[in-house]
Amino acid sequence: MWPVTFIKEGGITIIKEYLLKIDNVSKVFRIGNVLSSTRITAVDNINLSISSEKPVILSIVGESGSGKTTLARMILRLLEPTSGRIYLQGRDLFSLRDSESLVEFKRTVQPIFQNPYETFNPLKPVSQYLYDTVSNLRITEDQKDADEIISETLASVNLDLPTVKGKFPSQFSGGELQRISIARALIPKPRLIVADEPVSMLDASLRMNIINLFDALKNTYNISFIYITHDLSTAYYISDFVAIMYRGCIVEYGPSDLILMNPMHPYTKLLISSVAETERKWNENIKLSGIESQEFLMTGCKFALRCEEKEEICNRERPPEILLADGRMVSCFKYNKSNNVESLFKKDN
Amino acid sequence: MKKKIDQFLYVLYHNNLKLSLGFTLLLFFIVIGFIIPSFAPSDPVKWNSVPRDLPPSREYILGTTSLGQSVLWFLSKAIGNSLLIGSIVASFGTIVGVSIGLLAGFYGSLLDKILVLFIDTFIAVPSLPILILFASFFKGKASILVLSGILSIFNWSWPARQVRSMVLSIRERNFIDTAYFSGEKTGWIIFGEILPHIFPWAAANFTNTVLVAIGMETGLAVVGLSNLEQATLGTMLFWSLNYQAMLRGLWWWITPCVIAIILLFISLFLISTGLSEYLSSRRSL
Amino acid sequence: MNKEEKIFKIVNCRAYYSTFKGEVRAVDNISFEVNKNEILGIAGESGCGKSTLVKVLYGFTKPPLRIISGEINLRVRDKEENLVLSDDRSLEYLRWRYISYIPQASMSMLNPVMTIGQQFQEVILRYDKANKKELKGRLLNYIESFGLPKEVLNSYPHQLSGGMRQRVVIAMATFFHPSIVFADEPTTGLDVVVQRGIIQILREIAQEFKITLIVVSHDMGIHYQLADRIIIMYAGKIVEIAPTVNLFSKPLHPYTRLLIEALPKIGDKRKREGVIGLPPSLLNPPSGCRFHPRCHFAMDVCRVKEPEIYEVEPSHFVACHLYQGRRDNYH
Repeated sequence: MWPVTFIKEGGITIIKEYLLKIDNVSKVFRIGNVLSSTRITAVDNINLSISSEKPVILSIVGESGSGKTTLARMILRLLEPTSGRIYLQGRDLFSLRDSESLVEFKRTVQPIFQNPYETFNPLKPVSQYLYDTVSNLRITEDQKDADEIISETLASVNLDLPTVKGKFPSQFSGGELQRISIARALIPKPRLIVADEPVSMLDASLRMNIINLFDALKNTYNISFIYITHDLSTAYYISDFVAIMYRGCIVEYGPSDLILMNPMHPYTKLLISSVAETERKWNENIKLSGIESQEFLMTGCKFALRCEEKEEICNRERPPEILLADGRMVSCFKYNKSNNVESLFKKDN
Repeated sequence: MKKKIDQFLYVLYHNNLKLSLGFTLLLFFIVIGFIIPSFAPSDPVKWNSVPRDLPPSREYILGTTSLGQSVLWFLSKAIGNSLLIGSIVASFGTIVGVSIGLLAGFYGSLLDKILVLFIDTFIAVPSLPILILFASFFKGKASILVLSGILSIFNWSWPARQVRSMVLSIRERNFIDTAYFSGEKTGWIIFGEILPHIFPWAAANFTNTVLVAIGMETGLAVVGLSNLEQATLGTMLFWSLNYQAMLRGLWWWITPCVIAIILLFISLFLISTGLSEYLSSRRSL
Repeated sequence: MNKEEKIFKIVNCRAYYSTFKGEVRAVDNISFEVNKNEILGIAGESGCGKSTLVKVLYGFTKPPLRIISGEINLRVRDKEENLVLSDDRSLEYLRWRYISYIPQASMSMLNPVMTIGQQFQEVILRYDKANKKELKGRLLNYIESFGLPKEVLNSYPHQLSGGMRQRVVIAMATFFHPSIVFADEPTTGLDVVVQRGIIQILREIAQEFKITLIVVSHDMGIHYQLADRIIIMYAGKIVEIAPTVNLFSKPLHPYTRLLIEALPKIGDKRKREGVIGLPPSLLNPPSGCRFHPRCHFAMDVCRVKEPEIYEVEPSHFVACHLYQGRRDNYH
């Protein structure tokens, strides 16, 4: 159902319409040894895409064990999928082998990690990374130009070169270091930034600064973001689209205002009500999950053990991905009735 | 530069008694082993250069041996040679061991499996019989260099193994990914990002290996398998035992040697553990 | 005023770290009281000294941290004891049975090479000579009351998720039903739903076991859901103290207002700013009111004179020159 253009380039057929297209991607890990091992499907048949038209912020929301970090690492080409393909600007990520294409890849996609103190080598001055990015990704050869470019990106995160130059990670606060990390990612003017829990290690009072920054950067530099988080309140602020992940599957997906103001999947509702807000106290008690591996191996819906609204079928079968009239996708038997427009296994934005 | 020296001295002498004590002692031995011998009136090893079996006196401060050598000059030369052997073995062992560990840990897959097989073989094979075999092959004529080479064979596998496991965990840390996305080439990531984290451990291991190597050579020498024409702490022990120094009352021949060995080992041990302590306290900061 | 029983009375406490570069004034002339059975929240950004304060109250003062001056009066079984003067043995006697501490990272309290069950046993048998078999039964029930499956007792810490580890640590710390429990950032690093579960558990055990709970967190949302009364710290000093409801409906100190407004809310897309600037260095804090460089309302007197803390409304204390007039009127 998605419009696709096939182009022949040098004898290879390329699908060129999306900035990023994640096509039926799964990742299975084997835990244990040769004698006894379990297979954990960390990412289970994910389909997501970001169009090339205009910059978009897509939030992938889930708790630990949802597979969101594994998915992020595959998008960043740091981990190879067990099955499925990831296309960046039409080219299969894992078919890129020569150094030229890899440099081009790094100029297009950049990461921001969760722990700012781990993002940089504690034994190296942080500015070293900025200069290295400039020279290795062939932004410029000239030293003076490099200084200018770095100053510019630092300025867009409210920092300046003299403050940053020569200092080690331990000499900065978490918030400052995270902003430097963002500045480094901006240097090659990428089209996509994958941010994995970029604010969860910062004080609650500082998070909005970074979140607002993402929004500003999207508009100023035309950068799309994949914002990975477990905290819906920050995702609400800047996302255009939101995908809720649970144990490797996307359980709900759609425009963020729609999903967050009117959630349908029971897990989405749980996530929203668990935000520690300052106007309403929690009255209901919730059940926390037990041993994780049990949930991964379930045959039915993976959320069934904790679901308040479950039915008998939920224990037996995997819920299908259902496209609703309002434009969202939800994977839940509750909505598998006359309400839906059609059942689809792919969706796009 | 001065700031770095100041920092170095501060670290050495401020909090850590072990490091300061060990290092001072070692410095003392280095001076004795490398600087003092240049003042010797003649080749310390040459037999019959002085009258035999003389007890310590004003002329011969530590007395003389049954072979007609001055104990003082022989001992200082011996300390120097032992330190030299220790350093060569430690250098080889550390450089080769660390390099192999880095490559195996970082690349993983087939290369890692082959290297691990290699490493484990050398760890499993008993060193003493093989060393005896090699030593007897050279019929006691092996130079200091060759001797060091032989001892090196068994001193690289342990660092390789340790470094490999360190690399396996460092490799998962995010700053490696950052380096990757800053366009760094693999070689630089291994030697520029990971190696600095290994370096402190390698320094402590180096010191420890010096100790082990001197111990190995001394052990071989005492059973007559080293180069007996050279002056090392081991050969000194060998000759003094061979000539029944204790039974004949020539305590000045054997005692300074034993004391030197003990103190040298203590100093190296103090440095090695002092370094480890200092480094683990820094990591927790 | 309140007739509630005070379990802790801290008077003019100062605790500094001696470092290479000078003295870090992490707890600088702090005074407050803790009521029995209340849940007290201590809030503030990272680096304001709140973790140090809790360490000092628990007696974790090892060099380079020293208590310079002040009193920490603890009321235990009708006796009052000044903890500053206590020696290690009496402090050790109080730990686990009267006062417990839940550290910031659960792994720092758990031994990675022992199973959870073994660690529990080790702790319990240290203070309570019980028979092992009976202990196992008690432990099983206890663990299950925290919502943990019994397999946890045979697992190693790394096999459990962060949320489960945190529950184990809370269970351990409260096994002997201590009178006071300190929790240092109990939900940091945990997912949002797990965080809610932990807060739920803390609320329940505080009520059920009649524990006085002191919670340190930088997240005002946590405090809103959990604490009865909140202390706001800034740069080693207390700037505001109030019951939770009052603090959120009428925050007085400009810093408190910034902290509350920095939290995003679903359904409200009005522009929100995080707190700008950085907390000051505790080596060399600003003169006068330490918040003045970041304060929108800073007046001349703020740069020069440190504000004292006064009760400007019932139970609501604030240290800010903006309320001088009110203070004078109230008294």
